[in-house]
This record gives sequence, structure tokens and C-alpha cells, in this order.
Amino acid sequence: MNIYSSLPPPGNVAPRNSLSTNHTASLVTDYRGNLSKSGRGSINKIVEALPNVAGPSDLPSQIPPSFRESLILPHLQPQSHLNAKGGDGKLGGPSSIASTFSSTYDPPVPDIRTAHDAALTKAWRPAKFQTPHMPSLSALPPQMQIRGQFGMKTAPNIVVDQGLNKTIYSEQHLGSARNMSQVNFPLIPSQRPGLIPINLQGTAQPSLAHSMVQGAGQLPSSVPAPSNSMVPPKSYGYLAQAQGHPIGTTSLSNIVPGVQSSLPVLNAPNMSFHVPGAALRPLPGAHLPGTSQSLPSGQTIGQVAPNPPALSGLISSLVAQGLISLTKQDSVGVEFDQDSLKVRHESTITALYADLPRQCKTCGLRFKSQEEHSKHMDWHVNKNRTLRTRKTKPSPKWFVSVSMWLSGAEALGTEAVPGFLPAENTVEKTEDEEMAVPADEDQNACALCGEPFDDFYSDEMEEWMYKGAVYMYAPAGSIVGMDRSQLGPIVHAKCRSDSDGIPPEEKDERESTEEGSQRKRLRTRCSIGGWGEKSGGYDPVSSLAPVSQETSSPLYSKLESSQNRAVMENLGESLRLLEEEDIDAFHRPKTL
Amino acid sequence: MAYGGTSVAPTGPPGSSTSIRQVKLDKECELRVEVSPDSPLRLRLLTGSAEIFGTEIAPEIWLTFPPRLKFAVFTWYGATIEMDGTTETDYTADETPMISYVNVHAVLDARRHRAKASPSDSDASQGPRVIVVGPTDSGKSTLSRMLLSWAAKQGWKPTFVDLDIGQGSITIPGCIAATPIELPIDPVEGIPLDMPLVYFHGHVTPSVNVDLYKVLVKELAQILERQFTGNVESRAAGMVINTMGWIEGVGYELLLHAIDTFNATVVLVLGQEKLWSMLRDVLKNKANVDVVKLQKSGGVVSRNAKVRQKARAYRIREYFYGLANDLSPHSNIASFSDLFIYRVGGGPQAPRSALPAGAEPAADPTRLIPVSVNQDLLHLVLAVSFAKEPDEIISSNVAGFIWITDINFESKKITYLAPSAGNLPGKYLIMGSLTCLLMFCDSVIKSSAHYRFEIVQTLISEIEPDVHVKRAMNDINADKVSGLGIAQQHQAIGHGLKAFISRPREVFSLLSNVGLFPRVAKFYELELFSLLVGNWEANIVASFFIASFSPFSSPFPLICVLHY
Repeated sequence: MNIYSSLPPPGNVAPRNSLSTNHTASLVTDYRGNLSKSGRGSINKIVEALPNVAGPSDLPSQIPPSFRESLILPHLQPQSHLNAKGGDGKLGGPSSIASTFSSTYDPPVPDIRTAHDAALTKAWRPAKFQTPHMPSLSALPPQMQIRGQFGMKTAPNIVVDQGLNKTIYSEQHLGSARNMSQVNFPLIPSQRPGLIPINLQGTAQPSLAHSMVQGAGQLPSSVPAPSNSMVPPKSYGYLAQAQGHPIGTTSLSNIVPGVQSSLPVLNAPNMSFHVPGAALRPLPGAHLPGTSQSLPSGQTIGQVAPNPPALSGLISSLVAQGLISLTKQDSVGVEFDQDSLKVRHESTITALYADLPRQCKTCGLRFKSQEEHSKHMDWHVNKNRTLRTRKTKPSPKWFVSVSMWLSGAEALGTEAVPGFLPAENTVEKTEDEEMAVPADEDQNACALCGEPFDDFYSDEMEEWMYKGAVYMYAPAGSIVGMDRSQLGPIVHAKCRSDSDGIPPEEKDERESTEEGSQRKRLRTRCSIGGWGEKSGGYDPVSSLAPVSQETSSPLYSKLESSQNRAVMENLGESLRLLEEEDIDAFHRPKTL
Repeated sequence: MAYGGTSVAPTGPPGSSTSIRQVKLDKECELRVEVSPDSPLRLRLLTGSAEIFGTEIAPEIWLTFPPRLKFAVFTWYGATIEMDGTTETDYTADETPMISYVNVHAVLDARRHRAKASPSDSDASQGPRVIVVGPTDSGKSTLSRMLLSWAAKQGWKPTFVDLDIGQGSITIPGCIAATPIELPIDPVEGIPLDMPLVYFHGHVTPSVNVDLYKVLVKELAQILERQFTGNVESRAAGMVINTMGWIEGVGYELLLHAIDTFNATVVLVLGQEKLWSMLRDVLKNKANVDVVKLQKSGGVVSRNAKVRQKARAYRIREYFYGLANDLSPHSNIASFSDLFIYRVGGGPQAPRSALPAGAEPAADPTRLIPVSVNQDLLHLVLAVSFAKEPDEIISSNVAGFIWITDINFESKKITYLAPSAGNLPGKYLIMGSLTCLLMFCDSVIKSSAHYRFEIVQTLISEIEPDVHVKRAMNDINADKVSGLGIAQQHQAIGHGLKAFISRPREVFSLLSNVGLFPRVAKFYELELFSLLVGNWEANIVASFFIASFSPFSSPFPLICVLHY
């Protein structure tokens, strides 16, 4: 089941109210539009957005009782995880937390990403992540499922120090949270150790933001907050550490690294207060407004960073309580600092990896949202189509004039593919790309010629397909709605084309290309092991005579004369033998 | 791009193309590879994550790298890489400046966000304008590429500006160019050629005509300024400017000129403390300019003049034929009277014969001088200008290049290789000193006595060549040309070649007797052959180039058949 499919389309949801699960779709705009606006002067915005954040002292009274309850509920979850995962060596006692963190950090990151890919782009696989405490996530509302995923993925990384009642997250944990483009708030234990399921991502509905701040308000906020968002990363880190001391330094290093990074870096999406999925599980029906809805993350970040009295006050309070820690400064800032440049800042790397959770399996490009990803896959499909339908090698393009360049560069800003890209011949489109049917386990070879089908995974169809295959009795048009049994066995399109199945207009097309078929044959004969056509890499005819027709080269006319063709056919044979090894050597990556 | 590294641990004997091996990379390590000169290398990521110059590679997908390519696979989290094929060198390095590079990116990224958040009419909405400076072979183009790829990965569309006319990483050497970068730069294909804005200087060093260089830089900067005004997204993303390795004297002056002309806000100085402190002092009065010093990567190899020259020749070839011979240029024929060829200003390499009798080379460096068709144009690369009138030539960008492959003075026809068939997109052609032939010759003849020996050996021992051929080969012999200046060497080589190719049939019998080239003949020999035939028949030249540069795709036998 595709998780996203069960959600309302992003377009219908105003960014502010978008479900956090939807957020991936709308994130780009949010991110660019709002997040990035969080420049130096965005304090006003913050105040606007969180009008109720008056000051820590006002807050406790606003906490709704139910919220307190919800805080308590999840309390047991981390411990269960602790038990469940206790054997894997990732849990550390108070004294070893820091080292645990660093030692477990690296390897899991790619795995986390993979998990995300698997979970988000394909089917939900409960087995993979399920813990005894999460029996049936699929029964939850969609957004809860997403959370459930979070919870499950993150659970192994949660390190609970029972003695101190602290919850520690590794960074990759945060990274994975950010993968979902969620900005989560840290677990804020109130009276009791527990997790406050607050999700500021996106929208933190006012009430949610409240609850969060309220939670904070309960904490003594005597520690001065860093008031300047431009505070150099380092110094802030130290400051934070100092604040944390009264509670215990052991916990300082690992909790929510994203928090501190969000302070100095105004515009990085690395502000991650985290809500573990586990914490949410007991509340599927509760629908805390804050947990199910979210603010655009950009705004959230903008708000947090430059807002000393409210949020950084909160954070420092948390630090003071030892509930979160800010040890490792995690961002570079906007100024070049020679010392800072030499240190690995995890947020910088995660911004390039975990923050872009969807990866194109063909080219490795990463995306934040599914929308971007599928757009990219369309681009791949089109490109492949173009490459396949290309009969000869393309010519190098002339560069564009200044006016074209300016308008083209403009066009890039809005929608790619400038108009001056070559118009590609799409005649063969139907033959190859679209002549594919879902792979059938019962039939792996053509019913007519007996040759096995080439299968490939279609990102478009999201299933395995047989290349160049059709149903024997399928009509020319759409087969949607037709019963599989009516369609007959699967055959190669080229095998069927001799029979009745072929639509008349396609036949005409075939005839009209007949004139080119002689040359085609030539090419096939000469092309080395058939390799040339496929990759578009080598085409003896065109490379042999890179001559425009009008140049009337004697060589070219010779090539066309029939006796030479005979010679070439012979040559093609011997060449094939000669070149067989080289074909393997020059095996271009198979795209799609 | 000068990435690669020295020979530390060559793996496997040459020719062991079947050897598949795995390399485990620890966190923050990189695998530096130089593909062997005569066969491609396949590589894929098995586990973990890895990137090549800022562009992440997909797991499990085989990438094919063409011969000679130098690249490095870096991992932030650890990775296992699998390679199939031979390499010239490959080794793992654990000390890289990548962290500082990516941190620079992070700062730039932060500034882009800041710019994007600013009102679009304010100065603050201009994203970072980064200029990468440093001596030759300090990894400037590689750093530029990383910064662009990282930015593109995060969704920005920065503009890449290449002012290094010696390398021409966007198009061909002798040009300055700009292009928007939409996607991380492909590790194999390099900078996409979809829409570059190109200005033609015509020489591989600006010293030939410094004024012209400045004029072109200014023109380019003005167009970019217009683009940034009109396109908010592009404006916020800013640009990355790659520069020449010439940092002394006039070169330094040109750097300052570029920093000033493009209003650079971030100056990244690679690998030289002195340059950094000089620039910092000069620019300290400019409040909004950061001068940042960065380490050069140990993966950067120094290239000597021959290697550079050769790289240039490859760039020109790639323009016409594509990196993997996936492009098909067209050979066209035009009458002398159809072509309007101009040269800008004087310069040491301007042939006197191009001038009216008795005229001295012009003093004004940006003066346009019409050139009549003459033998010196042979093998020259000319740019096709978009200018509508001759006096617009200097300020106009170019549509592309043609390569003169033959001049027939009897029929008054010129044969040239152009990107595509049909009319040229502009009627004015600009001539520089870029030639394909001489650069190839030079690199072949001088780069290695070993190869020269082999060529002669093969040719002369296996067949009994015509006496003209022998003489030509002798002329090519470096013994005869050594001691002369470069220009004279070129001339001597050129004469030798001309004599040689006056006997096309002989050449072909040579070629066929050597035994269907790509297999028997070595790469370098083929390269020379292609030049030898070049003058004789353009169509064949094209094919020969293909074979000569990629031994694995071989139209040769067909050509021979055709000929006989």
C-alpha cells in the first residue's frame, strides 16, 4: 500500500494546515518560500506565528489536562524499546552516551534511508519494523501510520537512561525524522519522564505550539537564553553545555542535535524536535491537534531561530533540565570561519543525504518529496524514450543566442526543458516504451517465438514489466477494464505484428519506413553485435559517413551502392567476431 | 579537471579487464581513479553512499567511465565500491579537504536561503557570487563542480561561469562561458551542454590578447547581470566562477578584474597562501567580500604542458563527437565567398599572410581584421558568431565552432566539420589560434619518445612505404624539430604531415596493413593516423577520429573497404 495514496492530495491542503504526512509534497514550496525567508529580520514573523508565546512563566496554566495525560502515556514506550533492543549494544548508560552516539551513528544512516525508501515509495512492510509494541499500524489513520513508521525506525536508536529519565536520540534518528520533512519537537518530559508528542512541523497549530511551550513553561527557565540568532555556532554550543551542567553532562551530547543546529542556522531545515512514533501510538483517536497538523517547517525554523525570549528560552530551559543537550555544534552559519570550516558539521551532510530521503534508483539524485521524485522519474522515462527512438546519433547542438539564453534561463526557473531542445521523433514510441505489459509469473517467454521476455522495472507503473511485449488479443487502444483472460497470452510486439493484432495505422507507418529499412538492415548487419542500436553509442552508418546528404560526398554515394553493401555485410560478420569482447567492456549502464 | 593522483597502487596487470574488485571506503575517504588509456572502467556502489565531485551515485548501478578519465569517489558515511576494468591508477586516500569544501557549501547554502528570503528588489536578494581562484592544478574546476552539484542537489539552480580559457570545461578551450546548472553534474558526462552562453577568445591563454579577454568577461558579466535581474531564483542561487591558473602579473590583474566585474562576494583561494593574503589585503575595503583560503586536494595531479595541450584537443574533439562518440557532426562544403572570417586584434600567432600585403599586425587589440582564405586556416577551429554586423562580433556570443578540414584552392571550396548540417547560424566566423591538428601532433610527437618509436617501427617495419611517407615520418621525428621554437616545430610537423598525406592511398595501405587498427595499433598511433588522413578527406577524418579516440568502437575496417 502506498501510504501517500491514502492521503488527501497535497493540492487541496493549504500549506499551513497540511497534514504532516502530506508535507513532503508541499515542502518544496514551504521550504523555499517560507523557510528561507527566515532571514535575519524574521523576529516579527515569529511573534506573529506564535502569538501566545508570551513567556515561560505564563505557560503552565494553559496546559490542558488531556495534554498532560498524553505526555504520560508514551512514557513506557522508550523503555520497551530499551528492552527490546537492549541486546544490540546501542544503548548506553549515562556515562557512555556520548561515545555510544558517535559509534552508532555512522553505519545506520544509509540503512535508515533505505528503510524510508522502501516504506515510502513502495509497500508498507510491517514485518520489517514492527516491534512487539506495534501490532497493527496499518489500522491507524494514515498520518498515524507515518508516525508509526517513525517510531519504529527510530525506536532502535532511542537510548534511554533510566536513571536520569532522559531520552537520547542519535542524529540519524533526527535525520530520519527530517526525511519525512517533519520538524519534531524534542521529547519534553513534564512531571514525569515521558514523551510529549508535539509535532511542530509544518504547522504547529497554535494549540500545539502552546502545548509545547507550556511543557517548557513548567520547567524552570532561569537560564539565560542565547538571544542572538547569529551567535557563532561554537560559542552557542558551549553555552548550552554550560547550561546543561547542573543536570548532568552525560546526557548533553546526544539529545536532539537538530535543536541546537536550528539556532545558529537560520535557514537550514535541521530544526528537529522529535516525536517518536511510539509516543503517538497510544493516541490514535485522540488527534491532538498539534500532532496531526503542522506548520510549514520553514516557518517553524524561522520562528525558532531568531526568537530569543520564547523558543530559545524554552530550549535553554530544557537544557537546564538536562532534557535536551547541546554539545556538538552542528551548523556552519552564514559566515566563513576558518576553524568552523574544518570541522564536520553533521547537519551539513544530512542536508545532502538524509534530509532528501527519496533517491532515484537510476541516477542517485535525491528528493524531499514524492512529487519531485515522480516528476524526475517522468523525466527519466522521457529521456529513455528519446534515446530509444533515436535512429541515428544526434548532432551537437548550436549554442543559443543571448536572448534565447536569457529566456531559457528564465524558463529553467519555472519549468525545465527549454524550447530549443530538439524536437524528438516519437514515431517508435509505441513500439518500444509503451509496448510493455506487466510481468506474468506464469509466462516468461513469448507464446509465438518462445524467446524469453526481457523484464525491467517500470518506475512509471511501479511493477515489473516485459519489454516490447503485448497481449496477443489486445485491441489497439486501451486495455483498461478488460479481463486478463480476454487478452490472451503475452507475445512480443514484433512477433504479433505479423498477425492480425496490429492496428492499421501502425502498419502504414511500417510501410512508410520501408524505404529506410534497407539502411536499417545495413546498420543492423554492421553494428557490432547489435550493440550500436541499443545504446545509441555506435552507429556505423552515421559515424561512417558523418556527411549531410547535400554534401554529395563520393564516399557516401559509394556506401549507398549495392555492391558495397554486400561487402559491408561480410565485414559486419567478421567485425562481430572481432569485437565481441569489446562489447562487454563498453557496457553502458542500463537506465530505467 | 585535474583530479586523479599519482601512481601509488596500480591494481592488476594491464589487460586484465575481467578483474572485478571491491574497495571498501571508510567514512570521509575517497577512492581516486584514473581510467586506463585504452579501455573504459565500470564502477558501482555496492553499499553505503558515495559521491563523485558532489554528485551522489546511485546504488547498484554500473557507471561506465571512458578511458583516461580521472575522478574520485568520496563517501561521507562509508561505502563499498566495485570496479570492473583496468585503471591507470587507483588508490584510497583518507585525507581530503572535503569537509572544508562541504562547509563552504553549507555557508553558501545558508546565504542562498537568506537571499531568497529577502525582498526581490533589494540587494540582499542576490545569492553568493563565488569565484574560485588559485594556481594551476589546484583543483579549481573540481571545487567549482562540487559546489555546483551540491547546490543543485539541494534544489538550487546556480550559474556556472568558466573564465578558464585554457581548459574550457563548459565548451572548448579558448572560450569563456556560462551555463545554469539544474542538476548535479553527471560524473561521466560533465557539464551539460544544453544551454551555455559562450564567448570566443580564440586562444588558450589570455596573454595573446588581454584586452579582448577583458572585453569578453565584461560582456558575459553584463548578460548575467540581466539574467539575475529577471530571474529571482537564479539570483538567489548565485554563481560559481572558475578562473585560470594564471595568478601572476597580468594574470593576477585579470583575476582582480573578474572579481570586480562579476561583483564576486566570496573569493575561494585554493592552495596558495600568498595569493590569499594578497587578495585579502586588496579586498579588505570591500565590506561584503569574503576571501576564504582552502586546502588543495591531494588528489589533484600536476599536469605538464603536454598533458594540458592534449586535454584541450580532447575537449575540441568532444565538442564535435561527444564524450562517448555519441554525437554525429556534419561535414559541409562552402565556397570561399560564402565565409566571412575575422580575426580580432593582433597577437603573436596571427599569420601575416592573413593581412593585406605589406600591412603590419594591427595595434588595436580589439580591432577586427578580415581574413581571406589561405592555407593557414587549415585545421583551425573557427567560431560562428551571432553578430549581425561585423562590428558586433566582439560583443556577440557564439553559436558554436567549425573545424576547417580541407581547403581546395582550385575549386575555391572549403570543407569544414560543423555540428550540424545546413546553414551556419551566423555568417561571421572568428578565427583564433585554436587548431586541432597541431595540438594533436604536438602531444603525440613530444609527449613520448616511446610512442613515436612505436609508430615508426610499426609503419616502417611491416610494410615498405612510399619514399614520401618515409620522408614525412622523418620530418615528424623530433630530432629534426627539437631545438626549434614551438611555432617552428608546429610548422615542421605540419609540413611533414602535408607531405605525408599527399599520398592518401599510401596512408590507407599503411593503415590496413598495420592490421585493423584499434586492435593492433596502439592508441597513440591511431591518433596520429587520424591526423595524417585528415587533410585528405574530411569524411574519413571524422571516422578516424572516432576510432582513434575510442578503441572500443571501431569503424575502421569499413573505411578501408570503402576506400578500395
